Amino acid sequence: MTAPAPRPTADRVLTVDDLRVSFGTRTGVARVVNGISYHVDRGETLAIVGESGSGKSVSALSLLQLLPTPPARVEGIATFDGRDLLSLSEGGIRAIRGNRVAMIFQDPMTSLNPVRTIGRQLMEPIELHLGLRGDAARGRAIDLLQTVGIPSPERRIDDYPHQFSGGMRQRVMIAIGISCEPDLLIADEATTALDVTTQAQIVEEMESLQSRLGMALVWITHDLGVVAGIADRVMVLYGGRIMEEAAVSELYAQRRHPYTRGLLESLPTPGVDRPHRLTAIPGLPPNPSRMPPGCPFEPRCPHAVERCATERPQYRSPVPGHRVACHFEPEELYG
Amino acid sequence: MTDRASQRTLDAGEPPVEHRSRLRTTFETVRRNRLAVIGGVVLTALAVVALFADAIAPYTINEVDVANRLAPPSTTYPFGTDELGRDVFSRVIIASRVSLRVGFIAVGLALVIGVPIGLIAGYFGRTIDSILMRAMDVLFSFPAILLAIAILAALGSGITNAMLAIGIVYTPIFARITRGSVLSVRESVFVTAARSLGATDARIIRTHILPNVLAPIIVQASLSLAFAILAEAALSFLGLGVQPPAPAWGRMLNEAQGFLASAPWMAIFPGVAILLTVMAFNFLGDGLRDALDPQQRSVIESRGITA
Amino acid sequence: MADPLVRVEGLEVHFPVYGSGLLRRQTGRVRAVDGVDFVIGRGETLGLVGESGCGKSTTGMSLLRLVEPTGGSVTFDGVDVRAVGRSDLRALRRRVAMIFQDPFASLDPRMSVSDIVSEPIVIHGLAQSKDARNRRVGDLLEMVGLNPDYRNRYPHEFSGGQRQRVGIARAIATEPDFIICDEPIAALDVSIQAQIMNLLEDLQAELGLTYLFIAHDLSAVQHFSDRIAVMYLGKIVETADRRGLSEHPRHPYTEALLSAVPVPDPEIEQARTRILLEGDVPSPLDPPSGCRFRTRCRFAFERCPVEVPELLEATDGHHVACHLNAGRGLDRSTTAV
Repeated sequence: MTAPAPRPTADRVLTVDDLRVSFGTRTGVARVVNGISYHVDRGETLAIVGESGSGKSVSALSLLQLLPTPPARVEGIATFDGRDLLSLSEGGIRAIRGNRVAMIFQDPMTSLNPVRTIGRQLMEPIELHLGLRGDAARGRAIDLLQTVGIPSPERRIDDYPHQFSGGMRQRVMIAIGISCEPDLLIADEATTALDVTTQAQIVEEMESLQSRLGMALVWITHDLGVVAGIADRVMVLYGGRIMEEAAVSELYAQRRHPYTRGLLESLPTPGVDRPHRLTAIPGLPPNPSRMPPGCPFEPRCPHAVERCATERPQYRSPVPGHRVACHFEPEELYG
Repeated sequence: MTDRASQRTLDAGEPPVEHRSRLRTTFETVRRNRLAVIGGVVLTALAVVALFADAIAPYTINEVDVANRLAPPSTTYPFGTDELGRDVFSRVIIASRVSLRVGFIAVGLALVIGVPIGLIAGYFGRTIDSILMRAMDVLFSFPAILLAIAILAALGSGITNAMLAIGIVYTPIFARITRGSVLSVRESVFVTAARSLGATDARIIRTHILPNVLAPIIVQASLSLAFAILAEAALSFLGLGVQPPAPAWGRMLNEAQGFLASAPWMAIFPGVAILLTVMAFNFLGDGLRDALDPQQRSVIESRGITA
Repeated sequence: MADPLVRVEGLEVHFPVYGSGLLRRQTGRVRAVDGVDFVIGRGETLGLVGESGCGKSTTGMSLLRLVEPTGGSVTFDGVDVRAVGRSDLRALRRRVAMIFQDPFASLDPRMSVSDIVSEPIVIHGLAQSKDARNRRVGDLLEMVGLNPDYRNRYPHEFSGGQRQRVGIARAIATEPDFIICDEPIAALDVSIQAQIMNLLEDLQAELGLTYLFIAHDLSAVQHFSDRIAVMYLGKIVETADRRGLSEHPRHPYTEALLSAVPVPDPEIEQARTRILLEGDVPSPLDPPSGCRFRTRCRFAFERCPVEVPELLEATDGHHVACHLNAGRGLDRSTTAV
């Protein structure tokens, strides 16, 4: 049981500095995360957007030291409550996991243990981090199930995961995640596997929970629709690097980086009077084992020049809080 | 190419993975497994020895040197001589031929009968599956060596019948392994896709199912070879199987029984030969399994000779 | 519609469920597809949309008899699909093709791309010689945007989007009239989805194809389809043309579905009030009596549990299965949200 530590009083909950994650494989070193730096403040929602291979999930897992090292190699600093999460001891990080920083995953079927009741799984962090036992723990668990919208929680607490639907299971995951009222909750593709109507319910639930608990929320996804609804700020990842970061309305309106622009323009949006053909981004996502030295988006960028392949672009900040990793200004690119 | 088409190709991009033939990748994986390599080397040596046995063996199997009977290993007789003065070394070498021949033909027979049974039972399911697999279960339920003996008792001893007997004994395991793999491959989307193209059942089994179930069969074959050789040794030890004057490792062990104290080399060398061969097949089989199908759990080898 | 290419009437696909006792008697039926009607005109794209478990994939598979229908009729170009014998079914599968969701599982890992694409040509004996066949494979690969030089490579050497192109090349190899696309882009990265949708559209124009586009992503379906059918728990609840469905949805489920789809525009997203459905999708083993959607419908009234609503024409070409407003479904002007 961990001693209750004082809550951080600062507004900035997490600061990540030059995070790099690479994996040693038989065919070489795969550089999955290539130097990302960002921060999350209390009460805000940061969306990390990327496709497969962008490094979004790996970067989150590395924060809680959830990657096996070897073969993973993690470098950089992640400051939470004055300490570096990446260099904490086993005991130190365990005290944080599920307690101050919690994570929920995509597939509740595999993240929940099928042979234990959800009550047992829910009470585990409660007992471990909050020191509650017996009826007190059970009571809190029932309250949590109520909070996440599971009907008849006092009955269902003794049910097994397979007795719940996908949406319900994900709510259980959320309950486990918020059980100790964490300062930071990381949701990794938490609604991707759900039906769109269920997703709508869950997103609504998360938003109300967040405002009630005042926690920071990092929402990892590839779905630009969900992001538009839930995020305060958005970070677009490609090839393990941040391509663009901005407040949500800025990002969608300005779409300064060619990748952001390409992504948004390739989405089929409802509305009748529009050109029938979508504007697709040609080519393929990059191979982390063969990352080029320059901008990772260069092979697919319609505006790429020689410099883009060899020189890594620095961040430009057109407005405070908005940064773009590109050699060019949007005016130069889009006129 | 039209503008649209060339844009399309641009869209698609180049294949991201470097081209490496599957055979080469398998070969590389096995090569990295030291035990498998040792097994492979030993078996190659054995194959060479068996092929050129007549040329390598210094003496024929019937050459006797009564004056030097029960002689310990020396330069003239590297493995010593037996109770009749025959060179143990030559006999061990020549007997390798028998063992390998019986092993390969028996396993070959088991494959030729067992795999099609497994394919049909697994693919069509229902009644035909029940009938075929119950038949296999009947065979499977007998302890291996007893079944082999029973078959030989019915058919008479001899090398051909030994091959047949061992082949029959190992048929069920190939049927079962094949059927198991077929059950999962049958549900694959690419099989559904083949059906959607209008492929007949025969074509699907031949072109899609069989190549995708080969891996566990190959692994099982290499392991079964080991057991087949042990089975042959057991049979010839019991006086069934290969008949004199042809030498067989098992029978050499039998003949050595009375001389264990006085001439232990009569038992040691054939015994070591059996051991090396069986281990070599095992190592190679394990290595192949890791290379071809790392998820595969090893089939319960309770089909051992001591059963 | 006069002379549609595909006509489906009362289609049923029920799967038996067996008990675990010694006798393994049938204890029930999963009504995966339970009375589905639609038509597809020549050259048009019908979108079939619904959430998991609604039976849309099963519907698609049953058109080709990859899964056998247990009731109803399927007519393709005047031919009764359920009645044909083995060899006629094979001939039918020359004219109807399917594209599958999983680009990794739908290609045989032991076959080269060339073998995969040429298989239908071989099955139906469409090429005069090996050379002719090879030439055709090369053409097909080019048509889908793949470089024919890579024809001897294996599926695992390609990316997801490229494999899907191989699957598409295989589907068009026999010059089919009709292609059933079962979630063709769901498993692909966002930036690749647009590529594949463009490809499918281009091919439709070039080859005069008719599509059934099955998906759960309503935005993609709206973009891609001429008409859309919405499925819920084995039944079609609404059918309309693309504009009619998004502008005047008549079924409460369609309304909820449209409301739930997130739009990549923060102004819209943050301002909108969603219609949230209560509860979960009922089990297809034991669907609700009468209208299946009634357990989650905010407009449910006395008639709903009693009578199964028929799919009736509310306005021109717009069909809805709902008891509201005497079968005309939601009337936006009167149901203020």
